[in-house]
Amino acid sequence: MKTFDKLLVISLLVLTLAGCREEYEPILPPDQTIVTYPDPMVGDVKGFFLLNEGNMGSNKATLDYFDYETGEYSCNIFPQRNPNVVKELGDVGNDLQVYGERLYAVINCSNLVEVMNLSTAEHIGAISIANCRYITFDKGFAYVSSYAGPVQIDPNARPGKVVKIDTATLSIVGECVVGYQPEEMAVVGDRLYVANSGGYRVPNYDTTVSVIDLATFTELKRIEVAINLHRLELDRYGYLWVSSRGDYYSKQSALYAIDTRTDQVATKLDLPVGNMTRLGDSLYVYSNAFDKQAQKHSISYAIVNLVSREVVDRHFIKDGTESQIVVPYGVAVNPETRDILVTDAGDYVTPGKLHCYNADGVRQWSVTTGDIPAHIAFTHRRLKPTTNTNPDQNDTNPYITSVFDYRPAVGQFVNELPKYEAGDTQEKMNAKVLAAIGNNARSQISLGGYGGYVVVGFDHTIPNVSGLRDFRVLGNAFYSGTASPTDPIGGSSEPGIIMVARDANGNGLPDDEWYEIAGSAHRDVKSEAFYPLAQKAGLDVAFYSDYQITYYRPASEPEVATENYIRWVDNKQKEGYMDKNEYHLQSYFPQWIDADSLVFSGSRLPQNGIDTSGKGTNFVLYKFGYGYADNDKNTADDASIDIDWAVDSEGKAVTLSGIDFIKIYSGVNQQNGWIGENSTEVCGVEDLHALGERIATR
Amino acid sequence: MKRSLHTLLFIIALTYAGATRAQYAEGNRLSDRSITDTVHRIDAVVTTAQRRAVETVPAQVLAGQELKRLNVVSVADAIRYFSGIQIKDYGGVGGLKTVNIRSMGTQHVGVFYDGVQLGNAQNGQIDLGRFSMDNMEAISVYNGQKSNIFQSAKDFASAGAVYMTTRRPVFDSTKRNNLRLSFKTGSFGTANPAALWEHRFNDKIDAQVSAEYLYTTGRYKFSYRKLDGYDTTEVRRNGDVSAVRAEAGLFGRIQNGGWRAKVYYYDSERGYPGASVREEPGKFRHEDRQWDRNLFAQGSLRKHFGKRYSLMVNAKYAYDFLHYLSDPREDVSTMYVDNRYHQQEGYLSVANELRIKDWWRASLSADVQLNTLTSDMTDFAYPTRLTVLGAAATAIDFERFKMQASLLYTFIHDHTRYAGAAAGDRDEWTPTVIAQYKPFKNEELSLRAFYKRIFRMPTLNDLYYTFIGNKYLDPEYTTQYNIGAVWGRNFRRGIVRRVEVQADAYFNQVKDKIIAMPTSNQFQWTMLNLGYVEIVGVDAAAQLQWQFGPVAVNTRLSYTYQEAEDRTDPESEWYGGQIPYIPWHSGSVVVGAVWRDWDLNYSFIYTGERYESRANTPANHAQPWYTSDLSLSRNIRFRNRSSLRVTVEVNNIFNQQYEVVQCYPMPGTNFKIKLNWTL
Repeated sequence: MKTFDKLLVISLLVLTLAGCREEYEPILPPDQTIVTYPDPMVGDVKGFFLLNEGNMGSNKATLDYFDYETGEYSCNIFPQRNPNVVKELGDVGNDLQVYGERLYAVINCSNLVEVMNLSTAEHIGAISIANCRYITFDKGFAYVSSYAGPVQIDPNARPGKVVKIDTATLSIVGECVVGYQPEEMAVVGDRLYVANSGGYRVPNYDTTVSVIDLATFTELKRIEVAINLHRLELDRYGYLWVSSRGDYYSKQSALYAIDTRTDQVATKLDLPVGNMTRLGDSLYVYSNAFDKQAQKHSISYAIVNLVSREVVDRHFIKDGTESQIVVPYGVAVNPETRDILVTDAGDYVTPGKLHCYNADGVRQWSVTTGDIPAHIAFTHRRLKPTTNTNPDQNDTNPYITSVFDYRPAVGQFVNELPKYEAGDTQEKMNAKVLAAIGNNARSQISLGGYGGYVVVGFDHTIPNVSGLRDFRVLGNAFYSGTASPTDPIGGSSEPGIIMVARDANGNGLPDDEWYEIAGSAHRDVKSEAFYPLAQKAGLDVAFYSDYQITYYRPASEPEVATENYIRWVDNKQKEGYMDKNEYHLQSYFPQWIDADSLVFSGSRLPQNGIDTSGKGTNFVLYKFGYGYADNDKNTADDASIDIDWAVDSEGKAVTLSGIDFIKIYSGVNQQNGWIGENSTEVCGVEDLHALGERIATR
Repeated sequence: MKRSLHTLLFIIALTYAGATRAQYAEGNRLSDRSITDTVHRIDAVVTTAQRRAVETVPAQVLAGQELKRLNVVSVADAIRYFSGIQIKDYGGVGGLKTVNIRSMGTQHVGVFYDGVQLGNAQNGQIDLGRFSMDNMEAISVYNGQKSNIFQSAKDFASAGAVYMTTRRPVFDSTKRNNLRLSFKTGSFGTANPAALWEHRFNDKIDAQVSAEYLYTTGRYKFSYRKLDGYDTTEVRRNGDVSAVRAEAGLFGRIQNGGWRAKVYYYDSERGYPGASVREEPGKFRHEDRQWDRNLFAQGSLRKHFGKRYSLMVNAKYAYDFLHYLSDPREDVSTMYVDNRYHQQEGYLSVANELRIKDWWRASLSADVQLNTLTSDMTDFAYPTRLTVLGAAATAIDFERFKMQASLLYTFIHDHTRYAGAAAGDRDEWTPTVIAQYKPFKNEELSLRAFYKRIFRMPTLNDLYYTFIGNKYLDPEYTTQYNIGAVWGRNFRRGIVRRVEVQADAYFNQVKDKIIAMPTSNQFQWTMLNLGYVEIVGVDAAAQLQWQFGPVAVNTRLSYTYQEAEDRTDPESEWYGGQIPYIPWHSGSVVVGAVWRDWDLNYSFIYTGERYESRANTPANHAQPWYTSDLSLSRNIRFRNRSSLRVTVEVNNIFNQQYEVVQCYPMPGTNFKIKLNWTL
């Protein structure tokens, strides 16, 4: 009998223990990943937003942001910045555009246009428009195409409309009836061209482009083109390129050009078009038609030359990675760098991918996005970090609150991250560092080559909690794809050695004894997963605890890429030069320092950068086990440190109840071809306990 | 472009389309519950508590008073109490409710009404939310197939099955008429009157007529809340339902057999509230509506010839009509959709059993079915499907060891109005092996195992739905391996009077899973054979009967653990993710107490954390939910031998706000009062 009672109790326990729910679900923070190298010299295009459509009926439209300066990709930034917008961004994001200082997202099945502040992505307002599709702008007005025109006696013959919005007041000031189910629009002079699809009227598709006079906001005429029109791109010669989707059966998708001076179709190309984008005289096109018999997509890419009006290239992805895209779904070209962005919707029900290719069609990086990544808008404003109002832990600031010293070694990002301006002093540079990495700003600084360091402090003592990691150092390490899953993890790991100190004398200054965090290589270099590879590649794989290096100020400052630019000598009978590369032409020697040489000393880690291509094109910087800054991804546990790993100058473990100061210095002395020296970048430090994060120690 | 609404609405709409097909047959109702073919009648007054013949396959039954005591509106609500079952519920009285057995997918579940399968040629799933509990006598769930060989070929033809058994007339010695009137009302503006009349013409023929009307506004409040964020409460609207059900049946007895004939009619109108997604408050009204009419007539005959041979014949005709309307004059944001679908089904089944020895039986059954589907949709294919099923089975039956093996042959031929539109013919052979062993002579312990391979055909929608359908589809296969044990014991003394425990562990594979996938954009969908799922699970159920002095208590526990992993593409970042909506842990507890004329019932349902996509990311995470329901009823007997049963129910006592399906909020606390007057 007891057995049965037990059984009952156990069953109930299982049900109870299996999980309880939170009465209030948390707002998900963005998922942030560094995906590429920082670009401190970024031009006007600071980043881009990407709108993920999300599957219909799932209310999962999400907004992502990429920042060129930090190389960081942030997934789903909207909820955290807008916790009070009910049901987040909404259902099915259909278009995304920047106009002035605002970001406009057309949310199709939520029947609204969400208007956000461009610098913060914070909600400004929403304009309710039934079945809204695309948005374009002219002279302070927004024009939104909508399927929901006036209802006719025959409900099947319902035309669409274009809604005119005053962007100053976000109010609707006019409506103009157009063809059936209008899609993209383009402003040409004082007229608005609208592609009508008629997609609700299968098989009686619309075949026209409506032309609206913007002054009177009335439809002037319709230009006969082809069935089921969708995309519009205006070129520099007055031709408006229009895509026809065909009927998905016998009538093929094709591309047409309308001469907007005559409003006649001037050109037809038998090129299927799913989506297209223009840069200069090139139209980048892909098609993702579906072949039912083969049960797969038939995908094609092309570049159309808008001068000769013909297909000049059948591929703009040239490195053989084209086949990795399952369903191309969005395309955009950075107008400055000519980098090509292509999204992959995959199976539409799981997160998609975004791939970045350089102008030569070689893949630079890839990242996982939201569901159905689709619409990209470049921005000339950097997105400001969230003002973190962390409610936890009695007002302690979990982030860096002071910077005591910043002394980078020489390096390609020195004088850029942060930016040195003529006349800046050490104090001024320290302040710039604080602005970049303090208080969760999450920008970044570079420590240059081996030895360069930064010393930071906090408004409280970071406690050493037993069994848990205590703080996280944010860097810009990322993984690149490895050939096989069994290979060591590598990508861009530029480890910095971390030191910690207690404010023993209580004067608030880091003039106390420093203890070094003994990471994996401190304990046993041979344990590093990349060690055999590095040894085979002939790298210097020694670990030194008494290393010293001296860098000499260059005699002159060349304005072009220069080999043997800055000389260095170490205490291990080695010497060499740092080169100036073509991508970074500023001085690599810290400009606010007067001395003719820079001397750094400390531990030195084995070299970890290997040219896996064997011809100098692909350097992989392998990850160390643990215990270093800028070594593992910020989202990985090994970006975090346990204070219990600290050792004294003799290498003996010490027990610290907490720490007040952290010093980070670049730990590897290595030049890696065109990607330059191994230099630690720091984006911030976080007190895990103040953030309420619990990460078990190793 | 936005064929969108069109296609998606239709995917939703059509999941309902075949849903109310109901068929009826006497069939092997008795053997539903017993492999030994012993006559074991379920009457309203018989509790399920006592010994049942142990099923060779995992089976669960809710019947009689135990079923009546549950606070359930529909068959779908009752099935939630079984282990190994997931119900997909779009919320509210009118929201679609489908059943998924052991994560293999709704379309692998055969749903049988009085022993014969409900038609679902169009979309392959049955809305169990539409089957009223008013007339329901027992609900059973079988994994694999019913462990009986004397049955129609269709009984062999699904990966798992739900059997609904309706009441059959029962008269005590003096009565020739039974009359029952009932009325239910409560939250959501619900009114539900029903009547049942049974008459005994003579000792050869009984008749039963029943009718029911249901109206509900379908309105309820729901909330979405975020920590340090928004907190909104809205009202679910356009979820109204108005439905009529009428049934008439004749029940005949002949020498060494019986026959049954039934006509079933269902007519409903309902609104679709749609997904609850972001919108500017009050701007748009969702007004999509659907009308259904379902009619079927069905007959069944069973007779034993001599000691060795038995024959069973089932026949059916069914007609289903569906009308879906989405009208921009009512809802400006929508696309105009006004489509009508007509389905017809003809079915004939003959089953023969030969008793070769007392311990050895063999059977042969053959079914023929014809389905047609027409619609006023553009470019409709007008498909007709001929299905021929043949099953050969044999069973050996010793005191402590039983074994069955069956082989099913399926032939399918489709025809469409336009040449070349039809899928090619299919024929398939699929086996099942079932075994059971009792290790101890005097202990109620059985060990059991089964293997079954079966497939489901692509439905007519999968193949021929305008734009979406894909005639190149292959069938979707499942393979099941199951081992388990059942143990039970009665006690004469003490508090615990009976204990029954069963546990099964299983491994299932689903190959060539048919899924809907967008093509060149998310408003253009098609059907694809894409997907491979592996399911490892444990189902456990226990039933305990207690006696505390004059109070009899019955406890029912169920628990399910499932790892249902998508293993389609090893290259995918999401390879191995738990498939959508399948919780790792789920379970239920039902405690019923009877004291004199009073019945008290408490039921608890738990669904653990799960994901809304095989990408098991925080964004797709769904919280666990658990509801507690309570009901109290009293039976009042009058001098004229009539009795009145009064029941008060409170459901979701703690007003938990939850979703079973993403963006389809479920009701919070709700009430019901039921009056049931038996003359």
